[in-house]
Amino acid sequence: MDTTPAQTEILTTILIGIFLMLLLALAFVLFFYFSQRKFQAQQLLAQELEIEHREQLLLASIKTQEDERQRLARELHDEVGSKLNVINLGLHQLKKQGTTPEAQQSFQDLFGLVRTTTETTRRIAHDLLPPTLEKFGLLMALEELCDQYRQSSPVILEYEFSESSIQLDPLVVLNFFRVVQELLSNTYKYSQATTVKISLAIKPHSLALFYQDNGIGFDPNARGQQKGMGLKNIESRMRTIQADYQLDSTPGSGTVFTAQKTWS
Amino acid sequence: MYQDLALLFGKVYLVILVLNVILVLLLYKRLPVKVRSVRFFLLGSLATDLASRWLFYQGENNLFLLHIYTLWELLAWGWFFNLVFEHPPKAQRIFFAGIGGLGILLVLNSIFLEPLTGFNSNAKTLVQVLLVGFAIRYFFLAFGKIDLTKAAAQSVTFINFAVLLYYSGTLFIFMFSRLLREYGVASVQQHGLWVINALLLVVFHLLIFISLWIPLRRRPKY
Repeated sequence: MDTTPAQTEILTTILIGIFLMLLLALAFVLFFYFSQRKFQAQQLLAQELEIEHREQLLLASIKTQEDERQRLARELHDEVGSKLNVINLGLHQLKKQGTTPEAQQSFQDLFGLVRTTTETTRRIAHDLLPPTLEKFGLLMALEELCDQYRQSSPVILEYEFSESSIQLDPLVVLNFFRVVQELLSNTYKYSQATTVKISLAIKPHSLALFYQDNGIGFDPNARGQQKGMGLKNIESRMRTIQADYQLDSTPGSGTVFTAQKTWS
Repeated sequence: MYQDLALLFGKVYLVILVLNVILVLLLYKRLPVKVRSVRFFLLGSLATDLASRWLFYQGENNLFLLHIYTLWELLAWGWFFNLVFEHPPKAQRIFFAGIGGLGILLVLNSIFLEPLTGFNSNAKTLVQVLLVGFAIRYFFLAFGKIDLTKAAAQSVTFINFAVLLYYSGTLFIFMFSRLLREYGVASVQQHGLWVINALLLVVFHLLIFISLWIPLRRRPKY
């Protein structure tokens, strides 16, 4: 049966219509898909840059903090400490000239004051940057730190440090020390732990730290719970020295922190 | 030849449709809320298809089913898009009022303008244009807001892709279906167009199948 021009026109219109509509639908969806992918990639990049920027800010603030601590510790030790010694000597000279009992009593009071001030200054300087760390190294500084905690609390603190004669990078030493300091501080402040175990092994090509407490623990990935500054500092410090680290903690099961720094 | 092809695609389409219905009913709880809402449309499609086949083999006119199916299509997809657009309560009321009003128009069209024994080109065109519009609106609203790496977003996007592709592809077929009869276009040529419709239906239900499969394949991690 032959088709009339009107029939052909209808069929042609329908076929062109189908073709055009399908083409438009496909083009639209493909455009959406690729634009969406590009948009998502840009968003991801922006997020990564933001995280990197924050990380750098945190690292810079840690570095400034360390520099400032060192400067203050030295100022206190070299300037204030030595001037207090001079004052002490001067007072001894004056004491020899003072004969009245009242003057002797005043000198005794002043000696006591100078002694307390000297001790306080030394303690502050020590807290800011333990001289043991600079003079005797990481293991001695950690032993000293652990002993301080042992004396001030009934928590059972066990530590085991294995030594090697290797010369460690001062930056690595300082950051490992600060991390242990932060972990101990968190344990004693929040964890209600009764036992803490620390082990540190210095080997020719690695430095490994193991830290464990049997406290109440916490959920490091809990939603809505902001990571504390201490925890962020620990992570930033580990990243600064490019050490591998892992923090495992669940509510009711204590906390385990392991870190390892390797070098060739 | 066209008739054979149309029948073949019709059978393939039916198999995929049955598979989709089984998936959506059996694994209902594992599907995201928006995705599982396509069950109304799928069940309506299957019921209509089975009824129309039965009537066809009985030698009865089954075109009245197209009128019912068009109304069902409007309501079922209306429900789906209402969930997808996440309307606030006021906008939701307006949306449902619009869908309801359009439904009444379809009924009036079947009573007064396009009898149940013939094609309902006006109604079908109106519904298809509306659904194409909804799908386009989804893509505009979703741009920059959805994460295509997530199963639920991928799934809803696939359904919208299916709606956009099928309803825009077959728009001209249904728009001119009544005219084809009135102008006495040979049934061989008409079958050619129904082959395209059946082929697009296969693609449509394949895309729906993929959209149902995506959230089932990737179980959420807790």
